[in-house]
This record gives sequence, structure tokens and C-alpha cells, in this order.
Amino acid sequence: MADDTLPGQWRDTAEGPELDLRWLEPPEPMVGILGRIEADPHRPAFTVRLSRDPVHLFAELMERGWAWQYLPAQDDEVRLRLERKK
Amino acid sequence: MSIGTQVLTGARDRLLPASVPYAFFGAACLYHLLAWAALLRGAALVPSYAGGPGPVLAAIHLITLGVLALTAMGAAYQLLPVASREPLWRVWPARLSFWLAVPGVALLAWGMDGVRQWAMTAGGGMVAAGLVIFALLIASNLYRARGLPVVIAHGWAALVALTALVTLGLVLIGNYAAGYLGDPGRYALAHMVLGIFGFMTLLAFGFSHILIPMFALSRTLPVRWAWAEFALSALAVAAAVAAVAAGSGPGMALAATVGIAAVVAYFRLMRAAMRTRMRKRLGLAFVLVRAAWGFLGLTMALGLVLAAGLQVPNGQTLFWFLALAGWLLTFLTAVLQRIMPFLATMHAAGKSGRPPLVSELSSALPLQVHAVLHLAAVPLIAAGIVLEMALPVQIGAASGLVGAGAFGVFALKVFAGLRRITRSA
Repeated sequence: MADDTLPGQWRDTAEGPELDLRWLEPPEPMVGILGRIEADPHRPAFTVRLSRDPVHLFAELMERGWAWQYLPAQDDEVRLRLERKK
Repeated sequence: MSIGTQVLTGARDRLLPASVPYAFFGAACLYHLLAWAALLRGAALVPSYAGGPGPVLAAIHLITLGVLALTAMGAAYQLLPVASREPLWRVWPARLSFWLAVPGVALLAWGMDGVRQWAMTAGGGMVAAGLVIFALLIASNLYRARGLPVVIAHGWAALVALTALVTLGLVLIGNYAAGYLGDPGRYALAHMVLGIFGFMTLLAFGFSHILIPMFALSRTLPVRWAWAEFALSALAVAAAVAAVAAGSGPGMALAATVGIAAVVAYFRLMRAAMRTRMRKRLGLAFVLVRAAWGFLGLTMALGLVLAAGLQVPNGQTLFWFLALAGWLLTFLTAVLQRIMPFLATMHAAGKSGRPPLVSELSSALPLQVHAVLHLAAVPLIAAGIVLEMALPVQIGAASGLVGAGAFGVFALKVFAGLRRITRSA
């Protein structure tokens, strides 16, 4: 699936590219994240910004060999650093 | 696995302690076993069952309250705050609702089984109190919810139905002692419509809007169809209750027609989810989900046939059995086998150490055994009802009982994994 057809919008931040998925309703954020992970097998890491804790995402990430880290976020937001495990 | 230090945010605070949803799911698994056992015990009475206390009524309530309602409570307490972006008002009322509803179901079913009025009254009162607390907590969350308007609308409609069905349930229990209702059958029918289609089916439809696309990794469902499904579903339930109250055959036929339109809209949404899905292999849970959808279609078709006045042997009993065991029980066990391991990994996500994979928490063989036996049980019992024979009902109930045992083994493995995670934290 092409990147521009997937849900979410890329933003450049000081910490690198960040995928903004805040305005999307479930399951669009998860589809946006997993679609990008599967579309580009060489992508090493990226940050995502969400309005909900992605409760179903973690299991999917683990199954695909990705790790995550919670980052400081504003109240009512979740920011995650996603990283392909070596 | 989680890397580095976790930073708690407002959104993450919406997770409940794992013990809350898993207590409900554990109790639901136990009642799953008891429900099939009760059905096996009352197998000879099933084909001609036309209402009233006894083992069949006990089995029905073990399924509706013990399995379906407890699963819905556990899932709603955990998933709704995450979806609605608003935390549950407090956790202790959720725990209180568990301690009222779970023993209450046992007492109520025991009372119904042996026509013990005091047990029915006390058990019914406890379950009603637990459900009222659940309704208040969920109403508070729905009131503050942001986003997901179609899901929220389903939640409100389900709560309205729940309030009415609990009230009617208490009225019916009181009537066994005092006999104040002129036509208790009509009240019982309204109670069943509200419980199976008003409360549980509306909740199942509402959660389907999130969970099915989430499991299948699909795009958002078409909004117009989603609203059409909700409006038709709510209208069908209201029309059916009004038709029962008025004793109107044409009114019931109209309600059945609207209900079929609602199910067609629901199927249209689910087909959209299947067509846009990223996950190609959906696994065993979706075999059950698809079977449940098939049973739902059969139920509605039979409902229309009956409402049109056509004769089907023991058609009413068959209709309610297909709705309850074919549609709802199949769907709920499918959803439960997906969300239990997922929730465990979700809780593990914030713990130290390596969280387990979903595949490590799940167990294929018990779920395969459950699926085969459950899918054998439903048509066997349906055949027993139509042919008015106890033997197929007995074999079917035994099959369902062993299947429920296998499902219990799966649940125990998830619980053991969750316990391991909690201890290692």
C-alpha cells in the first residue's frame, strides 16, 4: 500500500519524522502505523502521535519484531517511538 | 517489547487494573460451562419449552447473564474508556458490580432451576443491582465521550434496553410469587426482545464497528451505513417491544422486517471491513465470527417466517435458541478469544521485562476443540428442537459442555500468562 494512501500525516520534528494520527478514529491509526511498517521494510524507526492509547497495536508490533517506547506527551495524547529490533 | 522508561500520560491512565476485566472474563468462562451443563440436564424439556421456571430457564439465564452480560461488562469497562478517551469514573463500582452480579447469577439460576422464590428474588436483586451500577458507570463514560459517535449511540440505546429489561425481569420474578400479571408471557417476551436484541445485539453491533476492523486491520467503516444500521436496529427493537405490548401480529411482522433491514446494513458494514482488510489470514476466531453472522441471518429469516404466520415446528423456541446460542454466544466467544490475549499483552506493555507474544498466551488446540464442538452443538440442538427429540439436544449440549471446557483451558492459559507478567513486574 502506498504511503500517501495510508491514514496519517508525516511531520518533521527535531527528533525526526513523526506520524500524526491524532484526528483519526480507531482502527485507522493502527492501520496507518502497520501499513507503513509493512510497506517499507528498511524503515528503522519513527515516532507516532495519537489521541488514544493504541491498545491493540503492541501485540501487532511484537509479532512484527518492532519495539516501542512511550515519549513525554501532552495530556490527552500518546507519543510513541517505534523501532525495528535488530 | 517496551524500550526504555515508560512515561505515563493522560491517555494511558485510562487502562484499568487487569484484575477488573479478567475477573469478569473468568466468571463468564465458568458460567459458560455451567450453562451447557444446565442445558444438558434439562435437554428433554428444551424442544417444547414455552417459558416458566425450571432447568431450561436457568440455562438461558446462565448464558445471557453469566456469559454474555459478564463478558460485555468486562469488555465495556476496559475498552470503552480507551475508545471514548475518557477514564472510568471510579474503579471500585466496577468491582462492586462484579461482586453483586457474579454470585447473583448463580443464586438466580439455582432459584430458577428448582423454582425457589427466595433465591430468584435475592439473586435477581443482586444481578439487577450489579447491572444498574454497570449502566451508571457506562452512562457516565458515554456522556463524557469524545469521538466514535455511532459506537456511543449504540451504547446509549443498549443502556436504555438494559434498564427496561432489568425492570421487567424484576417484575417477572415478583409475579412468580404474587401472580399480579394478567399475561406474564407477554412481559417475558418483551424481556427477551430487550435482552437479546436490545441490550446484547446492540452492544455487539456497536463494538463490531471498532473490534472487527481492529482485528482485521480494516479501514474505517462507511459512516452512512453505520448510522443506517444503528437507526434500523434501534427502531426494530422499539417496534418489536411495542408490538409485543400491543399483542399485534402485523406490528411484529413490521418489526421483523425492520430488523432484517438492520442486519443487512450490519452485514454491509462487515463486508466493507473484510474487503479493506490488511490482515489476510484472520484465524479461527473469524471462523466463529462468520458462523455467528450466518446464525444471525438464519435467526432473522426465521423471525420473518414466524411473524408472517407460517408454521415451523417449535419455531419460537428455535428462533430464540438460534439468536442466543447461534448468534450471540458464538460471536462473544469469538471476540473473547481475541481480546483476552490482546488485553494481556496490553497490560504487559507497561511492565518491565519481555512481554509475551499473543501467540504465547493463546493456545490453538483448546480453541480448535471449542470451535468444532460449539459449531456441532448449535445445529444438533436446533435439529432436536425442530424434530422434538431429546437425544440430539443431549448430544449437542454435551458437545457444547466439552467445548466450553476446552475454552476454559484456553482461558486458564491466558490467566497463567497474565499472572506471570504481573509477578515479574
